[in-house]
Amino acid sequence: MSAGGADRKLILTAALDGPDYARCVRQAQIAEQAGFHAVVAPESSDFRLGGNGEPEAALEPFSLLAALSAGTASIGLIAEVHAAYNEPYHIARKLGALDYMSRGRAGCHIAPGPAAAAGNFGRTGEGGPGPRLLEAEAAATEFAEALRLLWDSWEDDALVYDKRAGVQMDEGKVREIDYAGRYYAVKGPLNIARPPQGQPPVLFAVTGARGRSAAAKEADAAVAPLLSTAEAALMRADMRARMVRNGRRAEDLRLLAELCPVVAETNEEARELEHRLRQAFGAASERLIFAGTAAAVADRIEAWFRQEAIDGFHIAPLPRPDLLPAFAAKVVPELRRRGLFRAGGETSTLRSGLGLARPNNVFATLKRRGGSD
Amino acid sequence: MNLFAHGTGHHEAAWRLPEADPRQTLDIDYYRHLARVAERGLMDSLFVSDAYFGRINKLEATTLLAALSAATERIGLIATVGTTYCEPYHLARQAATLDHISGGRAGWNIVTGSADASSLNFGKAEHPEHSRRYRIAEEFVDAVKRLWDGGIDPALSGGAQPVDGPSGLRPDSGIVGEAGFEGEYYSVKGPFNLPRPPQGYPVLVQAGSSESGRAMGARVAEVVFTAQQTFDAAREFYADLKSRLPAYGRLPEQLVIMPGLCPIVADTEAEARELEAELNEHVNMQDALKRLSSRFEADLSEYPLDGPVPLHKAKLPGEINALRSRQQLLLDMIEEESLTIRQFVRRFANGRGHFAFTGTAVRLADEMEKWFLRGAADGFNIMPQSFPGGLEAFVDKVIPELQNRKLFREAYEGTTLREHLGLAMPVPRYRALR
Repeated sequence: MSAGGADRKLILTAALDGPDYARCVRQAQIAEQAGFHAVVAPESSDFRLGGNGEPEAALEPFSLLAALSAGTASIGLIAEVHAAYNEPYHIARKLGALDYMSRGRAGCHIAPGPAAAAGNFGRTGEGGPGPRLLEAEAAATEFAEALRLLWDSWEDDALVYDKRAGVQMDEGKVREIDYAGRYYAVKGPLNIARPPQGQPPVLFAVTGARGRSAAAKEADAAVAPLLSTAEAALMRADMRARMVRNGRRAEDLRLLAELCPVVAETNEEARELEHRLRQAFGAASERLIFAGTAAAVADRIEAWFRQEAIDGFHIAPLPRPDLLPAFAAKVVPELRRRGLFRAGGETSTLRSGLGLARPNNVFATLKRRGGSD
Repeated sequence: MNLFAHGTGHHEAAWRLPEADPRQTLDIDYYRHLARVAERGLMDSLFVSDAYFGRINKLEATTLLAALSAATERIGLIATVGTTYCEPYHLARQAATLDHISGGRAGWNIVTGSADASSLNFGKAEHPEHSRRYRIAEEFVDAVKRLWDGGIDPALSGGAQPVDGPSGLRPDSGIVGEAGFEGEYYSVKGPFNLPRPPQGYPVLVQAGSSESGRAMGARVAEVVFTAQQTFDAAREFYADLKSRLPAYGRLPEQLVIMPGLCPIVADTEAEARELEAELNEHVNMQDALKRLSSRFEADLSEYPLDGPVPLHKAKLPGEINALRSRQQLLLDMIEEESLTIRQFVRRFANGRGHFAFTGTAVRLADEMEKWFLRGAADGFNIMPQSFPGGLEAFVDKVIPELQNRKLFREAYEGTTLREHLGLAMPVPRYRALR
């Protein structure tokens, strides 16, 4: 899939939500049957109450997705990671394991993490939030960079398993990375071979300028809270320019708009639902909501997509359990009829589903260019 | 009875057997098969180790076991997570999640991490010294328990009640409790953000047999894995550990002791010996000598293979910052059995110092019966030399023999790991206070 052309197809991802495992299983199955590219498991690093007064809790994302990998066959499995409270070595290993176990369907969504959670990760005698929180976007950028180097610490053909000679690996193809950043330091190598996707895709949320700068450096896909097509066009132009400045090809980033689709039998019913939704979200957090009949929602999706600023949508957690099934059952087939969405049933890696190439190993490339190690 | 799933097998040369496929060790289907065979054998649990350094190639433990929870129904799932480079809040969430998605089958093997090299993967200049590591670990466990105790209780939930106060929540409502943990090393505010695990706490497992390890085991562990070379040593360890329990207000049945057992089982003694010899043939002597030399102030490859192990060059257990109890065990074994270097390499290859047995199912059942009935073990941590063959042989030959002797269950009676092991649910502290 390229950024333009008649072949262009929508990318769709959906958020999992809630602490109820059975509900997450149903959501993942609905999303997979509908042909979604991925589900995203949210992280929660502290206790908080949702708008309805109920605790907002999510299962630990890697364990949840590992369990889901067993009951699904084609959908991508993206774990949210709070960079401020994690270590690249742990997360690179978990993503490597998930990528092997799901045969190339793992990805991660790197977010800074809420400052309010700092008290849950305290060291006695240390006061105040550390630099990982104060300079969150820069820290997230480093986090992603360290992940890629850790995955690349093993060349793809490092494991030889020569039974006759008793040699398991080519030691010259497994390296220490000696990463020493401002926020993270990790010596490496990782203790799992390079994942099937080489580097599982990394998503960033983009909001402010610093978020965009981070995504332009390290992200394979960016999720943005966009409210209009005009805003989307500006965001895409800005991201293109930033990527080129970073020496990346502008088409190597997928841009997804965060969306709450509200599908009902009639437009009136949908608008009533939308009204209640906006009240529940509160004035402080404006959301992109497409409300209407399946055809009306598909119309708006089509209009946004044809403008070519975005590559698809990320379906945000929806306040009613029937909204995702309704979208999957009614809107997705309509998008398919219009030739906007893939046929479904495709099995591929998450990376190739997103139209992204498998990255070369940075160390192997350096070695080839240098003619020696 | 626990299965310790480990690569292609616990013999270090298992991967070189003709039937072995070492690439499978990253394949979930391979582990799924092992888990199902263990479940067919009605084993209590499946356990995996973990590490945070080196060039070993393996799947991270919690992720692997979460995937296996979806492929199994009854067997317990014990994940190793080291405390030194992890966060109590993360561990509490990981283990609680595994407990929720498996319907109460989770266990956590608490380790402090055995390698100095780990620190460099987490931006730390040095790995904490042995006894300090255990102090950190004990505090870590205390913080995690506080979090689990304060988990959202679905039975009492009608929505948590926001109130004034530092947490905004009422800890005594029985719904959520602040951890409010402030120790020497960790400060964890809470509250926990998941429902209380179905087992109250996932089963707490511990595997260090040094003095610090035993002290921690006696205080916090519900299952202890241990490496013991002989029946007498196992009995001494068993008695010592159980005798420490009253000091913590605990009863003997609140701690299950499982020595490691590396079985090579066949229908005849001769066949079993043949299997053992085949494995030993495949040991890469050079690599093994290099690895074992780290336990000595000498390069073992400079000594004659069939000469004695240079015991006077061995490092003392106190001089190494990891697996101290194992070092003592190995030195005792070399001395008592007057091992040559070649013999030592083979003994170590065969289960890294755990009790290894080669023979028929009946003879192995005799040995297990003796350990079980005469105060050396409550159960065993089964470490087959090669997978899946060694596990299948154990399940198909040894388990029925133990069942015939009424030493092992005929069917799963409970659904949770606690029920399998006969361990009671912990009483949450918040509720205990009310």
